[in-house]
Parts: sequence; structure tokens; C-alpha cells
Amino acid sequence: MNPEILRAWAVSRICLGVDAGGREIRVVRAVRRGPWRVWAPMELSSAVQAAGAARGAPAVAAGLSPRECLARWVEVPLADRGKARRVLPSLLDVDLPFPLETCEWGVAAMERATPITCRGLALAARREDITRRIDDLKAAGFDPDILDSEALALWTQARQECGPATAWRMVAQAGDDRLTCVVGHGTAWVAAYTTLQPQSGALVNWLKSVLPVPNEAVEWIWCGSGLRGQGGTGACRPDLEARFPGPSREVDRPEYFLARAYAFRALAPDALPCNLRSGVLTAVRHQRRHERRRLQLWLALGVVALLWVVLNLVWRHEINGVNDALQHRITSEAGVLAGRPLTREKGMEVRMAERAVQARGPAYLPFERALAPPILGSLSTLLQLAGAQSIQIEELNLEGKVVTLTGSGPDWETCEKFAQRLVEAGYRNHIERRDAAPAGRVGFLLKPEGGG
Amino acid sequence: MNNFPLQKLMLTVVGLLLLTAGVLTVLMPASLADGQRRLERKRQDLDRLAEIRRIVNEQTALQAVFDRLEASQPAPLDTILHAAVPGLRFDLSDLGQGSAADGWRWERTSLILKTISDRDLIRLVGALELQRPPWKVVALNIRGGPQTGQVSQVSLTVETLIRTKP
Repeated sequence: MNPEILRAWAVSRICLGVDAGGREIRVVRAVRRGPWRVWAPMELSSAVQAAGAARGAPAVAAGLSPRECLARWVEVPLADRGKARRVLPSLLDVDLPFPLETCEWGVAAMERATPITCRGLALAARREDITRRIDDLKAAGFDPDILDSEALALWTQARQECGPATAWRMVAQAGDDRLTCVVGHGTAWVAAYTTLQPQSGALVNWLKSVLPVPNEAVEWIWCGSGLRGQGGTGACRPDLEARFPGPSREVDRPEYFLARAYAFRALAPDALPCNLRSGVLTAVRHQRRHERRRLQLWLALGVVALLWVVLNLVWRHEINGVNDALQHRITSEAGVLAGRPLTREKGMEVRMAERAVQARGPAYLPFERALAPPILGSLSTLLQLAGAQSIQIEELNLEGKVVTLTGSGPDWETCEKFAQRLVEAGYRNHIERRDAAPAGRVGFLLKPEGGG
Repeated sequence: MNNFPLQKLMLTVVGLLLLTAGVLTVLMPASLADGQRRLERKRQDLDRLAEIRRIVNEQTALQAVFDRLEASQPAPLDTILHAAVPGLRFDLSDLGQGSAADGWRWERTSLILKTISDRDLIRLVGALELQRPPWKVVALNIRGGPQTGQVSQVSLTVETLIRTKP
């Protein structure tokens, strides 16, 4: 059996919650807007019309009473939750008063109980009970997408509206003709009981058996249409509260509590999810919705992948385009510089252009030399400085700004001064003393800086 | 059930697209780096070509200065020398010639002067370099006389440019 849990929140934003457990059917319309969910009661005739619409019909969620749907914690002697979930059906089969093969079942929660064990909240309902409930609902004009557990719905909705329990919590749904009581502690659901005769004492006995310590403080939350009027199932309330004293409160619009619990649970992936209309009993419309939704998801994924591929290809094409444009510029510019087309020398364009320009370089050297600063300025500066310092020139070589001079002066100080003046005039020379000199004079050699 | 083959086909297509997208994503960093490397290399090549272009422009500009001159060659050396320093004695010898850039050639001459004063030498060099195209003094050697300010011999290497094409 496939314990598939198909919920409405993934496929619909609107859900009709149908409470058909009593003499009167109560329907609410709940809408999910982002993280918020709002609800409003609905006339039965309008609800039937909306639920039967050919297009855009909202999801319909109803429930099975604790009498039809068994919910219990099953201890699994395995530490791994995945393995425990796989083993749980065998243990549940032993626990059930009817064969598991005749049931639809599911696991609403699986948690670690001790370091070596897990416990799972198993739900099971006989197919004949589910079918009967579906037929009843169909007769009323509803083909439910979701068949929830009343026991879990009461507990989670009470937690949603009243916050987590601070002590033992009794959620009592006083229906038109039966009373359902759900017990839990903190955030944990413990057990549920339903009875047609709440005054009989069986309920009290059950509650005593569930509570671990007698007279323990409890918290009562009351809901259901039976709270109003005389002689309803809510008549047992004073007696129960006297036997199990503790703070007591009524929820807002108690007659629609269960209906909105079904709708809200269907619209949000809350804790303890449950849909017992699964497997072969799954509503065709619901199945189709899921298939369409799955297809849409795949399609969306495909579109994203396609966009990604296209983006990648466009990006590559753009890069190649820029690359080609740059290559074209390089080829044409290098061709102009080299003086010939370079279409065959791909990758060598710059080198070819360099070679061509280097080869042409010597042809322009005479122009460079012709436009270099005239030697006249250097020559007149040198001769003037030499005359002013009484320097006798023996030999002078001048090429541009490079000067080599052999000569003599009246004394070494004058020679050095002459060299200093040359440096100030922009010549990079250094002076060396020379032995050979005319009598009474000091010889020197002026060499270019760094020269031999 | 009728749309099962269609679904299967769609899932196959989507799967292939996802696979392609995945492969492209995996390859993306490498190809991005490769693309950037190629573009960077191309930009470097273009920068280098711009540098070469600048050199070529400078060379062309140099030649353009001479292309704009009316005279295709300077006055003959002996004419300039006689005009600058009347009665000057000198020896001229051809040092060779060669082709310059398109439409031009260079010519180099050695010039040896004897017994010339500082002032005449400066005037002479000025006259040579003021020619258009100039007789450029590329090297100069002076041998001094026994007294300060005396010059016994001057060797000059001069070079000029001559237009070969009209």
C-alpha cells in the first residue's frame, strides 16, 4: 500500500473545509495568501456549487472521526527514522484489529523516542469506512480531495489558535450527536476518544486511563455546535470540568472549528499532515491536479534550464563576437603597419608588424639625425668656456652632446672649474689628470660619464 | 494515461536540458577564465600595435618635415664654405651614401679644414646647419694649436638628405 499523503497546499490556494460529522454540514472557505490564511463560513448551497465547478474548483477537505480512523503512537526499536518508517507497517499490522491490507494508512510523524528507538504517529482507516464517508460526502455534493483525521485536526488547530499547551490539554469537540475528546501534552498529541454518550462514564474512565497521574492539572478547550442549547453533547462539560479541574475556554465560532481545522491543515504544510484518501481511493480530480502541478513544475524547471542554456550560448556567442572583433582590428591594424595583408599569420600579427617597423627603422635615422639639436650650440659653448678659463685644447671630439677633450689649464683648480661649467651646461663628463702637458701647465682629460 | 508518452518525452527533454545546463555550468568557470585570458591577450596585442603605430607616426612626421621643403637638396658644400669663410682652404672626401625612407637618400662627406679661427669655425658650422635640408655636422674633431684659442686642424663629418623623387 502506498502511504501517499496528498495535501492541497501544493496545488491550491483555496480550500473548502467540510465538517459533515453531525446532523448539519458546516462549510468554511479558507484562502492562503502567502503565509497568512483567512477563513469565512459558507452557505451549504454555495459551497456545493463552488466545489462542483468544472473549472477552478477549490480543494475540498473533510475528515474521519476517531471511530473511523485509528491514530496511535507506535514504538519502533530502531534508531534510524527512515528504517523505522519502513518497519512501522509490520508493527502497525500487529496492533490493528483489522488487516492492514484492507486499510489506507499513513505516518503523520516520526520522532526519536530514546537513543535506540523511534516512535511514529500512525493513522489507519478501513477502506470501507473511507468509501462510506466519501459516498456520504458525495451525496451531500462534495467529492473530497483530502480526508483528514478529526483527532489530529482538532489538536493542531487548537495549538494554532490557542498556542501550545502548558499542561495536559483536553480539546473537546461537542458535535451535534457525539463528543470527541483529544488529549495531548505540550506540543505532543497523545490520544483521542469519541462517544455518542458522553454522560455514560466511559469517557471519564478513558481520560483517567490516559492521564498518568490522577487529579493532574488540565486545560480544557471546547468547540463544536453541541455547546449551544440544552441537551447537546456539551451538557457534560460542567461534570467533566469538575472531575478534571483546570482552566477552560471556548474557541471563537466553535461550530466552525473543525471545518476550518480541515481547511487550514489542507492549505499549509503544518505538522502532522494526513490524507487518508490515498492509494486507490485518491480523488481523480486531486490526482490530476497533482499531475498537472508536477508537470508545471517540470515545465518551469525546463524553462529555467532552457533559459540557462540560452544565456550560456548567448554569452559564449557574445564573447566570441568581441574576440572576433578584436582579432579583426588586430589583423587589419597589423596589416597596415606591416604594409601587407596578414590574414595567414594568425597569432603572429604583432610580431610581423614589429619586424616590418624595425626593418624600416634605419631608413628614418637620417631624418632623426637631421632634426637633432644643432652641434653649433655645443661647439660655441665649449669654445667660449675654454677661452674664459684659459684652457688650451689639444684635441676635441664632439658628437652631439658627447664630448671628449684633451687639454691643459694654468692649474688644476681651473681645470676642475672648467669641467664643472661643462656639467652645468648639460654635459655628462668627468675629468682626469694627465701627466703629459706643456711646461707650467696642468694636463687633463675630459671623458664622457661611463665612457672608457 | 493517454498523456504518459507526452509526459515521458517532456521529462526526457527537460532532463536533457537540465543536463546540458549542468554541463555548461560546470564548464563555465573554465571557459570564463579562458575567454577573459583571450580577450586580455587581444587587448595587449592592440596596446602593442598602438605603441608601434605611435613609432610609425613619429617616423612619418619626421619625413613629413622634409617632404614639405621646397629645395630637394642643400647648396653644394664648397659654395657654402666659400661664402661663409672666404679664402678658406679645405679638403672634401665622400664618405658614402644610402637610401633613406621613401623618396630620399642620405649622403655623408668628410671635411678637413686647416688654420681656422674659433669664430670662423662657428660661423661655418652655423652656415652648414642652417641649410634646408641641412648639412648636419654629425661629428667634429678639433686639434688645437700651441697657444690658447688656436686651432691647427678641424675634421667635420657632415650628412645631408637629398630628395630622389619629385
